[in-house]
Formats: sequence, structure tokens, C-alpha cells
Amino acid sequence: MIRWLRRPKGMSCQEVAEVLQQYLDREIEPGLARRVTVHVEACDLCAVEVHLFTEIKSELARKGDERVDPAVLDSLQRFCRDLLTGPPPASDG
Amino acid sequence: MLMTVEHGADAAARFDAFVVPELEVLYRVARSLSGTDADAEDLVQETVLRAYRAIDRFDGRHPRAWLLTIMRNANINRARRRRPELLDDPDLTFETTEAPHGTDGRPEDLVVEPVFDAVVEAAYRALPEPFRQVVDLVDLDGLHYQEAADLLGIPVGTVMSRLHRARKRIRDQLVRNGITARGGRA
Repeated sequence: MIRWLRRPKGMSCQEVAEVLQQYLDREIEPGLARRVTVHVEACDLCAVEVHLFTEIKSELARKGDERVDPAVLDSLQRFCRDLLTGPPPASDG
Repeated sequence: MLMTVEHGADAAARFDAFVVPELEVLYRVARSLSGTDADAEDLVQETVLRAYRAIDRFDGRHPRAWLLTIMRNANINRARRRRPELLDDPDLTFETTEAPHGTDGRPEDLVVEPVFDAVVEAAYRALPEPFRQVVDLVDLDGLHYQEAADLLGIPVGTVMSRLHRARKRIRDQLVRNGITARGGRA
């Protein structure tokens, strides 16, 4: 069965593609972000792209979380506490 | 000449307020910059020590940016001590570096049925270092474009360009493997 893809008016797919990464990173101004959202909600092709890049970002963020070793973080927090409570650190400056 | 840094209770409170809350971000970023947990821990320690010494001169605005600047300088000094060699311009050579074919070819990475996570991982690992570093800082560590640009000492446009090309390569690798969504095949 042939299903017609929805293609909205307003921003073109090319215009959306040019700002899509900034949009996903929330690095564009709100007015433009709203226009992108309107387009994506009405465009099947761009919606697939947004979904795919969002999944990629989520997977990469998960990798970032996995790299955080709680033991190292604890050690760094101890280091800070020692700085605040211990004798003044030596400086070679 | 060795000297010690004297700080009052106010300085300790400022350190507690401005530096300690950013510790995890500093660790994440240091991990991206230095590659190993041991080096990252050293880099964070050096950064917070420098911050501690300079806390009296910090105006209290944008502590993360201030700390990332300190980390950048500390990392440059460390890099100079360790790797003085220059690299080719990564932005010119990116397109000529080979994208992975499903995996990077190591036996332990081979997957019979390509799955989303494995393809992303292989494509990520195959990125040239300067591109992976931007992905690390923005996608893995959650920095803004400007923060990553300041940290790496490159224009924000270069951060965006590297990030977008890197993500597109990962995306293209997924599509090439017939994957258009997590758990879904085209």
C-alpha cells in the first residue's frame, strides 16, 4: 500500500536540515526552534531524522555516564575536602 | 621557591560554592581530554588546586567557564610536556578517513546482527580524534558549543562543523546497516 508522506509548508526540509543539530542541542533561538518543531511535527521524513539523531545523542550520553567511575569521583571529592580542611597546599609559583 | 597559599573561611566557602558542584563535569571533561581515568584524575586535581589558589580573584560569575579555562591551560601544559608533535589539519582530512564497515573490524567487535548500540559504538570509535573529542565534550559530557570551543581553543563554528559531520557519519553508518531507529531495521 502506498502511503503519501506528509510535507508541510513553512520551512523547507533543507532549511530544517541546516539547523537540525543546533535544534537537537537546544543551541538555536526559541523562535527558530518553534518553526523547526512545527515542520518536524508535520513532516514524516524530517521526523525520522530527528528520531534517529535523538537516539544517537541518547546512546552517546549513555556512554558518557558509563565512563564516570564513582570511585574516582569519590576520590576527587575527598581531594577537595582535604584542600578545605587540611594544611595549605604547597605552590611552586 | 616553595610558598603556601593562605585562605580565609570566605575563600573556603567560595571554593565550596563554585568549585565542588562542578566536580563531576570537570571529571567528565578531563576524561574526554586525557583519555584515561588516571590522567583525568590528575588533571582535575591540578585544575581544582589552581582554582583553590585563585579563588580570591574569581568574580563568582560563570564558575564552569572559569574552571574549564583553568583546565584548558593545565591540559595544554601537560600536553606540551608529553606530546609536542603537531597533527595534520583534522578538518581537511576528515572526509578522507575511512568510516567503519559495520564495526571497526576487530574480532571482538564483530556482530552477526548489527544492532544500534554496536554500530554507534563502532562508528564513534572510528572517528578521527579531534572529531571524537568534540562529540565527547558535547554529547558525552553535556557541554554547550561555546564551552567546548573555549576549552579546545577553536572557533565555535569549528565545534559545530566537527560535531555535525561526526554525527552524520554515525547516522550514515546506521542507515548503511539498515537501522533507522533503536530496535528497528529499515
